[in-house]
Amino acid sequence: MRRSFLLLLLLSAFVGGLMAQQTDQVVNRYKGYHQLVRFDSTKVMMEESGLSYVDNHQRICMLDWTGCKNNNVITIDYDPLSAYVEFVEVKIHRADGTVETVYDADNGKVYDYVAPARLIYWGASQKMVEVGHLNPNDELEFRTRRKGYTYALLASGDDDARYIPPMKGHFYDIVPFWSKNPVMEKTYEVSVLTSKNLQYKVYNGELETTTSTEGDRTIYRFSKRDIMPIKSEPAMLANNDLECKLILTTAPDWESKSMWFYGVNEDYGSFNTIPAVTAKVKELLQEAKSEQDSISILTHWVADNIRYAGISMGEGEGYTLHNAEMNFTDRCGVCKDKAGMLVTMLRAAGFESYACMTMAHERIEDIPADQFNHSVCVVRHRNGKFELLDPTWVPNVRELWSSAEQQQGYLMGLPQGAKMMYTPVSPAEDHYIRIYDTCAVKRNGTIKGTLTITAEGQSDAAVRSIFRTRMSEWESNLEKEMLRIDPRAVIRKVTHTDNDRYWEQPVTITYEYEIPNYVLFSGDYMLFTPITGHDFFRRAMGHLNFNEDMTQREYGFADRCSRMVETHDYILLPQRYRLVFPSDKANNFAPSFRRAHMGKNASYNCVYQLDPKNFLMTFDQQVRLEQRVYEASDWEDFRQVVKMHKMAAHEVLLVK
Amino acid sequence: MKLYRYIILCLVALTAMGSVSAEELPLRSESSVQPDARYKLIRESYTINNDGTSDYQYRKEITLYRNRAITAYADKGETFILYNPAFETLTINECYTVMADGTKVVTPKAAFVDQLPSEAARCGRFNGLREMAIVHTALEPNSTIVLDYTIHRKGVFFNAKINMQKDCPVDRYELKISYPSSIKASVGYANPTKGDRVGANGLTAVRTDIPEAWNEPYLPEESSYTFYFYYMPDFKYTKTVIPEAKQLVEDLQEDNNQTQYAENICQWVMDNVNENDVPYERLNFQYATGRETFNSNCGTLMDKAILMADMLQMAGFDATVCDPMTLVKESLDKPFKYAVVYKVDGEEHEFMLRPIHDKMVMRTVYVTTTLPFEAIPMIGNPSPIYKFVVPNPESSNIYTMDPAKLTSVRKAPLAVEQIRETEHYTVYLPREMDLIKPINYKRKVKGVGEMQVSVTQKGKTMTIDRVLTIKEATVIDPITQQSQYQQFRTMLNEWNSSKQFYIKRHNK
Repeated sequence: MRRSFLLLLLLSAFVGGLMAQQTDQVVNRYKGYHQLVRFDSTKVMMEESGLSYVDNHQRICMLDWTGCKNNNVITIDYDPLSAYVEFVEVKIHRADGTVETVYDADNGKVYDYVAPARLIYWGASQKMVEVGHLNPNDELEFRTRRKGYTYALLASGDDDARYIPPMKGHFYDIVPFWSKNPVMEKTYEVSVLTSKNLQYKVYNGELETTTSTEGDRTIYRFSKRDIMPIKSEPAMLANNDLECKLILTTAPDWESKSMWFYGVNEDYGSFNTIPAVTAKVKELLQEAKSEQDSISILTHWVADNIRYAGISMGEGEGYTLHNAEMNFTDRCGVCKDKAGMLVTMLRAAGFESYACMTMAHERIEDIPADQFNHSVCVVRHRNGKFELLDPTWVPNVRELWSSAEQQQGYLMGLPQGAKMMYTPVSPAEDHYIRIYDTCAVKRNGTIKGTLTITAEGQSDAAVRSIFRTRMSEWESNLEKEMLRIDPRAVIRKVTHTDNDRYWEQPVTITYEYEIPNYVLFSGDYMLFTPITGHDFFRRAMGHLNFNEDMTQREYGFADRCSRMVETHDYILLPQRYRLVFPSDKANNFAPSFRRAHMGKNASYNCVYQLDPKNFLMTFDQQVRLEQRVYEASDWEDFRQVVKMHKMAAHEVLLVK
Repeated sequence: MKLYRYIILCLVALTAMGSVSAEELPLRSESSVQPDARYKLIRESYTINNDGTSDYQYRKEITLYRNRAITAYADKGETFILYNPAFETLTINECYTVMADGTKVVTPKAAFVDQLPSEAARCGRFNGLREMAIVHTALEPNSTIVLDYTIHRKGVFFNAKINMQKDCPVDRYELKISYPSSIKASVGYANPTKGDRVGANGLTAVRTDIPEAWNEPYLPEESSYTFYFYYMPDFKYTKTVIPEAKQLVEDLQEDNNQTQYAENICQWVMDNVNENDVPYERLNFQYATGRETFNSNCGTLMDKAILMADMLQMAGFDATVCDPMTLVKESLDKPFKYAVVYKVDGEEHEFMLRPIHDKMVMRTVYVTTTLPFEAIPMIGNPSPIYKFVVPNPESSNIYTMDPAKLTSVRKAPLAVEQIRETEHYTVYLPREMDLIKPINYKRKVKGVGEMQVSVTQKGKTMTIDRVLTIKEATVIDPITQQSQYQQFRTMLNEWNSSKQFYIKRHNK
């Protein structure tokens, strides 16, 4: 008895020591994190029809008070039209070893409600269990069950029919094996009929994978241990593009997905015109002069007149494009409905047009699973070529396909099927910003001149954002842009293109200005910054928001769009001057100075030039940023360009 | 000769600007500036009935003119109505759109979504609240949205601040507040107008041709179209014990410093309890107990204040929660105050849960020091010219109004804050350095304040004196006080631009 007691004492001391050691290890290993996922286990059972049952089991350890605060409730999102979800069990393992049941079949409460929403009002719902107060080192364990899919279904029969996926008999899933919190172990297991030929692929990492068979089923098991969050970098690509993920699908190829998408909308009649739409198309195209003109008129009409606000069509919502009657009467819808309206109008005008699926700002991998979050459309020209149109992303944009979506995957819904394709890089010169300044410096330090900015493509839209306010604010907004150069600036006159007809010509804004005491004269010296050296209309130059002090990047990054900035400054000096700074040390008083960095995807070039005979100084610069999505290896070029562009704000020093 | 050069320059510039379109428009005159939309009518009424119920009625008729009012860039296309079905019943009396050609389109059923308001998310106690999201359909230029609804309430308390000024003009705004003369409700507004009917049982006011609200920085807090209607229950803090919080309260004591201990408790509640910004009116002014808030880890700011006081009490402090309405009851235009008051060694301390701006406090900055000569060489080192930048005083009180945001054409009133900022610096210049140009600005803006800046050199000593005084918080109306506004802009420009100047270096 005494020996047993001693043994128990030793054992408890050992276990206690081990636990304390483990706690210390946890504290050190996960320092700075708020919660630790001990395990996250998902089991999926797919039926012949495609209906799937998903059981999830997680246990989360609170590492600090923030973790406790963040876990005061657990929620599950679902669409009641296509999925059923339930909490099975929620319990708290207190740090002192006691276990409290928050919810099970006999205890607790589940809140079920329409989730807070803006812009998309489809009645997406949420179930919630209130966990309440937690202390650091408490652990939260919960099990949930889901039946169904993330989309609604057209036809409904027996109870479970609405949970069968729209592409009947098929299944797909995208499983992130990454997390914003550390995860000790994550497993994903799926049981499918062997005849379904499930294909899967692991991206950006490795998973431990096992396969086994049970009768006519194959069970795939994927797991990963010790998942640590990556260090976030500004403007980096989506986590799904960078970190480990698993994609599974039973769809055989993209062609079948494309044909399904075509069929489901044609069957519903999404693109059948109605007399009111046909009449509207006729009215709109009265002045159209060419095929491209007609496409442009219809795209801009849909972009500007079908506002982005989603109301539910009931069964079928989520992947079925609203029909013409609903779109034209409601004058609102989400991306797919805007795309549907445009396809209908183009077809009413005699064009061949189809809806498309795409994934905004995330890569679509080469496996035919539903990796889509956005819908657009295509039109076929007489020469047989397809043109992409996006009525959701081009209100107030002169483009018909937003170049902010370049280097992005898309799948056309065609009767004969289509392959996954990628949009090309849009040339930087299609998104130019040109700034011209012609000015004269007076001997009292006043500078007086004319400053013009003009832009195209995505840069046009960015410059034009100054008019995306109430009309009564335009004048003041335009002045503030000049006051950012110097608050003492006095504007004599401003003219600009008509923003209400934005599609007709690139935006142009011209200022006539005067800035007293802008130039400093000191003895033989003259000191000032060329007006175009300031970040005038910085709103259109997203690259200036990058921090060039960051010397290295681990991951790829993205800018808004490819871009070219050209500035030209003509400065009439009061007398003959020589250039002191900027200059090459070895070549003092040279008539010109050039600063340049020529990278593959980012380049900068500027020239300061003095023409002493005509008392003229010119300052020209060109910035070229060739892409939207960059590799980490492009960063050095990109940051050098940003650095040099910012250096243009440095004063120029001249001497008599 | 100079003219000749200028012509060449312009020709060069025009050649380079070849692609610039000639189709530019001058800025529109004020009369051609079109609003995005215009409310034809807003009718609002608050009624407290004798039977312990109340009603809120609202009607709007708004005509949309410009695309901005219709598309996702604006907010005219949707209406959100917050209510609490536990004691409030929402009835949509009518909702439709009259299209430009006169066609009436009744808003479809699917366009009404009764959802959880985001303010009530992640807290079981508030999960019964609802927000009716109404998506107005059939919107096009020159269409008119009509919405009329009523909220019937099994409760009588109101806490309403009504701003008749909207982000587009309002042709007619009708406001009616009605309550039994036996109750002590408060009604207030800044700008009485002929025709207003005010009595012991309410107010009726009609305003027409209300201009659109300003959207400029540095605006005064209230417009002359603001009305208040308050009828609220008295609040009295009652201490409750939270057994579940006992250990935590003990753990928050680090040492014997009692003031720090009380601060730790208050800060713990602020940082670690989720906050739901639900209006108290929607909760019928019912607050949770400290225990409810602690155990759910969520609550309103007032719930958190009560929890804070309970935990302070458990720690042995004499603590209470201020009646949040005290200030409102004193003066209608003052904000609510959420504060917990506690005593340490007999001395009263206050923990403010939400800081309020108190205009009565004069912000003062006073600095007198010697600065090292840390000038920035303009080229290389040594450089013929250096830039000297006066550092900002290490104080959160420094004057931060940005002159680049004050346009010459401003029409919105400008709220000017109080300040007394005095800076005196001495800088010993190196032997070969001299100030290029002394600075001497003196400016007085009548009824606003004054500024004096001087940068001078005597021998090798540079003296920088900067004084800015605005005795009282004031509002400048740039239309009626144009000269004051322009002088103030100049004063602010000089105050800011004189923070940097240049030093030259001799070769001697």
